[in-house]
Amino acid sequence: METPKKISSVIVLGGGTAGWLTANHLAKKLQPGTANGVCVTLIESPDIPTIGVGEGTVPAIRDTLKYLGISETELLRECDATFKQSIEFINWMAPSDRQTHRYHHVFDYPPAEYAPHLLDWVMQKEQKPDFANAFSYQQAVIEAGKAPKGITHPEYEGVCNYAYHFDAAKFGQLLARHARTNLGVKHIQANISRVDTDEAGNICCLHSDQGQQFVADLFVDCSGANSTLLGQTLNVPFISKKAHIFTDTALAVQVPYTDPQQPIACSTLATAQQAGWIWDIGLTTRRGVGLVYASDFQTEQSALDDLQRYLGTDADALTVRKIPMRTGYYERFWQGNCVAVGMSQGFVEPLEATGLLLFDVSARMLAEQFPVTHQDICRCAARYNKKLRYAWDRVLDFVKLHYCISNRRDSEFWLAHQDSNTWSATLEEDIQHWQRHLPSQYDFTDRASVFNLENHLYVLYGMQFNTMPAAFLQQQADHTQAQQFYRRIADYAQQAAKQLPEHRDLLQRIARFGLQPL
Amino acid sequence: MTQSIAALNPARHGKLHVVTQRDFSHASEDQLVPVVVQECVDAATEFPLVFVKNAQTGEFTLVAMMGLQPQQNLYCGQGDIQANYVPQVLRLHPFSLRPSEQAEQLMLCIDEQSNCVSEEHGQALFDEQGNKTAFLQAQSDACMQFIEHQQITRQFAQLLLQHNLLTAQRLTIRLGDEQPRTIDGVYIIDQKRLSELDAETLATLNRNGALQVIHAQLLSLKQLNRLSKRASQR
Ligand SMILES: Cc1cc2nc3c(=O)[nH]c(=O)nc-3n(C[C@H](O)[C@H](O)[C@H](O)COP(=O)(O)OP(=O)(O)OC[C@H]3O[C@@H](n4cnc5c(N)ncnc54)[C@H](O)[C@@H]3O)c2cc1C
Repeated sequence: METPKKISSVIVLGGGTAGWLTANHLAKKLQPGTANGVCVTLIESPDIPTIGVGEGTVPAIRDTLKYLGISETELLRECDATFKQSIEFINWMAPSDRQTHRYHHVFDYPPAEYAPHLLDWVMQKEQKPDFANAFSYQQAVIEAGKAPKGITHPEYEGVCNYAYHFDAAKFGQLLARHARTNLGVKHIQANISRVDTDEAGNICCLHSDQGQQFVADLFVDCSGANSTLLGQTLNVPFISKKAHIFTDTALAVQVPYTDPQQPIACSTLATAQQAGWIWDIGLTTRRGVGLVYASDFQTEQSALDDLQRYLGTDADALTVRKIPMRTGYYERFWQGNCVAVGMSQGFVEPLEATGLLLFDVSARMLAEQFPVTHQDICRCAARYNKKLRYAWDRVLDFVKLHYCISNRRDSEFWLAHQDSNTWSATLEEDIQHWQRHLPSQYDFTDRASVFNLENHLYVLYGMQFNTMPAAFLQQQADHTQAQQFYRRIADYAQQAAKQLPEHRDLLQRIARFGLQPL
Repeated sequence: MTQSIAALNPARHGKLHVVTQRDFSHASEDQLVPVVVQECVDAATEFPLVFVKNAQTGEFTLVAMMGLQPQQNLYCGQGDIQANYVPQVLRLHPFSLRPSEQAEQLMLCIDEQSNCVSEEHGQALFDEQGNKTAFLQAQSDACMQFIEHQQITRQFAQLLLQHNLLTAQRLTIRLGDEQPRTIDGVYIIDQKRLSELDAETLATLNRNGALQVIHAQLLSLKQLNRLSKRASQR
């Protein structure tokens, strides 16, 4: 019997954030250049631009960057990066007493002993404190304009949990430099214009428009929304999720600061509109702002008006970029010897900044479960497809949750979201369950998912979701104990908000002195 | 304290004198005193030498520990200092070089409130014409040299970080029958990693003098006993 052929080379097609992130993960694990290593080559078109948006992240990015060996100081200095401690959702509920509704999905999970007090909070009727404020001290830090850490904290550590906002193009360049100089990734610039497949449906060769040919054992499709290999060449069907998430277009602008010392928000601001929402992200040098809307519910002109209104006078003379978005994913992410990572595998609107997160998870899974020989591919692919499909579905449900528990009734868009016919079966079941039962670890044990119990709590109860537990449970709430818990949080919040440095001040210090590795 | 530090100028400070007979009361509340690598071997015979992080910049700073808690200095009493070695920065007092507000330029400054400063006694700073005296010039040169040594000390810290030789260390202090006290935020040389360095790196560290400083730092930790003893005698 002949020994199965070893996989000794990988080509990553595409040099956007997904492509370079994948190349980093692969090279970190596969050790190109060593005796038993696997060769990693990234091919990108010199002509097709990267998408150029994607400025918000979630805290998991810190683990990734640290693991890859990228310095946090370098990230902050070179990518105009700032700290992100939450998403502040504005107007996702109808105003009450003419007060704009706002809540934070903060990144710090509540302290370990919070669980018994959840019942108390849910049972309180009138004038209860914000959920995030009652269970975490991070909102106070954010509202005081403070950073999540101080100058003496080592790289990637802080008092509060955090992620980043950064310039997507500069982040791509940082990843590219690291992959090439430190991890041994080969880099080729070429336009791939033809792809050969064999009779088994595997990709065997990429041809450039200059007549070059590229062969490898495994191909990773990071070609962006084109999905050049998985979608266009292998014809894997696309599963649209537009029936659940209606938004399909983005209008993006870059907004300069009026004053170079203007405070920088330490949260992504997500302000709901009549048929979508606006992201507002502060970098060190400018803001990135964009409207995500559903073209079935709103004309482009009306959407532009919403964006103008949000930006106020700042709007004049800004170039608006229109970006189409196609919500959904491919039926399989890995077929034959082709694995998709990035927008080539699917897309969901950036409400919870899940783009990079999902691609990071996929790339790392691929690198860590990498097939040794061609015989392993089938099994590895099946597991990859199953895990990722699950993660995608959970992310879609989580994004939809923000819309469907809203009480806004001011437009068809919001009414349609609240119609349970537009919910997935799993989401409908979750919501029904949480009307009678407090969300708990039981709901999340089987979820290798990216958003956990605590993330759901911040959104559900930030949006005043009504849980009505059984009477025998209700009487078990211990209000005195809970009060003590809230007071401890409040005390800590006050201290932390006082001691931590102002956001821009810290960024300037880091630019000048750097952060220490320990 | 900082408010009394002013850039020297003959119009304002023309009449000032500085008494060179040493008075160290200015340091009586300094728990940590910065030292430079050039003086480590001497300083190690008297004080524990550790790294701490500068609160403003986060940078690692080499310091001599003179107390076991904030604002405690177990060496400086009423003016005198009970130590066989006095760190340079204390000897430079009341002079220092500091960056000016705008330009990245260093200016010679004086602590106007210092006990060493007087209008009658000691060495004059300026002559009748407002020119620097030889005494002031010598002080200025010493300050300049200290700044250069600090720069080399910063490079030394970088070198240690590069070789992953620094580690956070919680210091545990026992005073008589009291509960042991702990001090955090202190970094020292990691002996284990030092012993694992390859021969080539060790040879380089030896050649550029870093190894001597590393060993001085390690040995100096024994001086914690001296601090504990002084503290329990207070
Ligand atoms: C409006 C909007 C907002 C977003 N906000 C966020 C956010 O806040 N947070 C987040 O994490 N994500 C966000 N995303 C998603 C994020 O932008 C993407 O996930 C990320 O940029 C990865 O894109 P990519 O690398 O898959 O594709 P691209 O950036 O499009 O890169 C594709 C690459 O493939 C190459 N290529 C394509 N075809 C060929 C060919 N034939 N030959 C050679 N090379 C080829 C191109 O040259 C390019 O290098 C957002 C997306 C949109 C649309």
